[in-house]
Amino acid sequence: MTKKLMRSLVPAMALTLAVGMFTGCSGGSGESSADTSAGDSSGESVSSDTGSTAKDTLIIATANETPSVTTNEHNAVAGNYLNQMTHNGLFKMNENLEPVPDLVESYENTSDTEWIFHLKQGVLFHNGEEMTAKDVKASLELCKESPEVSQYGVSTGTIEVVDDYTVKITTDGPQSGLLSDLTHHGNFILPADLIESGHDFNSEPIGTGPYKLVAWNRGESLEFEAFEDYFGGAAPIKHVTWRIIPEGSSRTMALEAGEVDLIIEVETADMTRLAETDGLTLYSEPGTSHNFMMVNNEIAPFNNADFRKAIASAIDKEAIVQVAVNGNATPVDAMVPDCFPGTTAEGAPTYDPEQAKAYFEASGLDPAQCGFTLICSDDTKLRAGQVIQSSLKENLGIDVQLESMDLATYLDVTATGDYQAAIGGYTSNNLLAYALGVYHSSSINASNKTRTNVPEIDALIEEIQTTLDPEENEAVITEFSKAINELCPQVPLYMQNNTRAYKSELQGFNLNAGGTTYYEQFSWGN
Amino acid sequence: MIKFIIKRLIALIPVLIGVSLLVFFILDLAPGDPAKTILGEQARPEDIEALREEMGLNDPFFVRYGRYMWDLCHGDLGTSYKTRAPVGEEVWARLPNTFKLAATSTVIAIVLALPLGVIAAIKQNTLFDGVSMFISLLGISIPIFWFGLLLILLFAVNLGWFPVSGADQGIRSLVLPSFALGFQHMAAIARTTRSSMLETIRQDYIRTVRAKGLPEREVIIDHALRNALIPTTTVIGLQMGGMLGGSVLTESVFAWPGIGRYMVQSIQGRDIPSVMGCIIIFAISFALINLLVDLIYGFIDPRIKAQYK
Repeated sequence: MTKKLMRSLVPAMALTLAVGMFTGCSGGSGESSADTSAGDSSGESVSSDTGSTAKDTLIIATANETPSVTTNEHNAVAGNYLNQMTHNGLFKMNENLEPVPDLVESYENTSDTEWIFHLKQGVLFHNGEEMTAKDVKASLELCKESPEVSQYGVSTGTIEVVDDYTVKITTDGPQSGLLSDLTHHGNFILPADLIESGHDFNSEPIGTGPYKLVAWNRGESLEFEAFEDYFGGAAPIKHVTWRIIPEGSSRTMALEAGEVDLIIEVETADMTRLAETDGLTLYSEPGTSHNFMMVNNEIAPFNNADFRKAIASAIDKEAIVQVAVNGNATPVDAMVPDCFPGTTAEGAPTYDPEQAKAYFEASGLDPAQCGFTLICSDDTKLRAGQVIQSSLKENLGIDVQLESMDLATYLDVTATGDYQAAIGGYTSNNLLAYALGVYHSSSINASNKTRTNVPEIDALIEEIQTTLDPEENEAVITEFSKAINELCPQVPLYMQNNTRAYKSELQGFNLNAGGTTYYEQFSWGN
Repeated sequence: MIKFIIKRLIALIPVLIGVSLLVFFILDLAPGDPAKTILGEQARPEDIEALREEMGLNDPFFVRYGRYMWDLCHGDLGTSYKTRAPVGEEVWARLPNTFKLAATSTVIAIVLALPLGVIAAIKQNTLFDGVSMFISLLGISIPIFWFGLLLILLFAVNLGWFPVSGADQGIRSLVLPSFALGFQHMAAIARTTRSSMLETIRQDYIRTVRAKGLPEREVIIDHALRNALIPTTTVIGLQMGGMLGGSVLTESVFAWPGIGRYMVQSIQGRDIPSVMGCIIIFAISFALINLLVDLIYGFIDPRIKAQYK
């Protein structure tokens, strides 16, 4: 009987053994770098001289894993967060979204097209080599050659090494966006000899930044340690771990349970609870993400300006903000983000159902012939779409069909103009990049999804590009803003807030409207 | 038996060719351009075109498929469009986690399901039968997404027994995702075991062994359960195969770095080499699990084992 019993237990034992093998032999993707306490946010180390404990680890939870940590091989927000920790550019964005020198000591603009940059001396890469002008030239030229980021290399024209610490850039015509482009991670500085030798920066990113990548546990976490020779002084927090937690509620609970110290993408539904939790701080301030309902201006009825203004006046944007993002955004009317100097909402249609009817009357169209399909590629957009559907039916009698679509298909059909209307957005750190991307005819079949093709608008954008004097530049921006508001190529909806939640004892928290955080400024309070 | 195993392994080759061709073809038909998806909304047309050329997307379908298969025959799963990293490295970094989760969940499912199914059958139409099948129904009906969050809330946030997410705390990290996944799969196994047991215990030979005076425990475990295990083993094999690629929700809720989530992200990004790599690995794993199930049949039922010769 015992023998029989043993035989019947064989499958179960085999399975148990298999589990034991898997559990035993793979104890480790997360344990490969045991010197940082990835799973426990306490991250305490004992100070040898005082015997006291001081927290020196920061654990950040984020939804998305970067496709790459190589500065020139991605244009992903998730990757930008990490590149900001490991690398520096010649310039960086300050809290007012102005480019300020980073690796540059000083600079001069000797003519409309010539810029001389004097580099900081004694800046070391993580491999111990000093950064010089040849590294700058190699890095900026690498940016131009890389499809993922080459748009940020257009303004840099010709790069020359004047001496070890001086670089001269000669632009192709005046480029007011040059300094902004130099803040982009695509233009971050890498060692020239490693670029030349084909170094795998994705395995071992070498930059001049305050942190070094220690381990990348695919699909799970990335671990960094402070670079003690950082030219700005070693960061107070010695270890930073980025944990990838795709699910919003799980991120919130990880913060509440104390497993992580900061969460990047805060779930809208959890914000009120987090704000009311002792020991946690919720940050929610306007960012530069401009969200809109884009319409294909090449096809009827959207090729009728009065019709576009009618729908822009008929949509209740306050309701969209409440329904789609739980109030964590600001309704907008202006066709460009109003956070940039010189922009104005003057001339843009505002929510006014009576005015909407007047515009519709002027368009000469029949509501029954104006129904359209609105593409919504995620749940937030779908909720916004439901409000739009209701507003247009109620105020103008127009039927809107909502169509869900995955991101890849959405990007394809909207870029090629194979659509009527879609909810989209555009995030930029400066007005020029926004205007070039969203409204210039050269971006048709790419990011100009309304397919706006108006020579006067193109001319104004090009004038913004070539006007270097800040005051004159601002005046042109104002003129452009009014013109594009009058044209009304799409329906602006809201400016999305940047949100973060973190433990209140974390000091030095900073986040600019563009979403950039300098983690080297963080420290743990007592 | 070795001959049988070799034959089954050889039969895997046409399966892999068929699966790869089908998936490659479907991905090719799917709307969405990998280059546009990688470069994002702000990309310029010339950059998109340059990347398409660099990734070889402008080549004809059969050229791309032939190139892929040639590399595959040389053990190269290709390079991810999105990460530029070898797909083999990406997959192997996640595969142990997936196997670990699938195996542990399977064990939990079996440990819960077999007693439930057996006792529900021998106590048919009693309160215990009702309760057992109600628990099974719960397992099938409760969305794993919601159940996972409840487990986190209770055992991680409130009691602090287990971590909320991740896989970096060894067995502690494994408990909640395994239980969530195992509980869901327990239901099907328990119901199959129950119906199979009901059929078996009404057979003549069971009546005979009872008439011979064997203790009831021996009748059930040694004689009835063993015969009832054949359909149950089939279901367990299928469930485990499904867990390898179908644990996406569990992996997302518990931030478990497995291959399911990686494959879904690759599909969304039209990262064809990564999707293909995952599918090839799934196909091989599924076939091997089925082979293992067939071999286990032999241990359970010597009549089947005799056919392997």
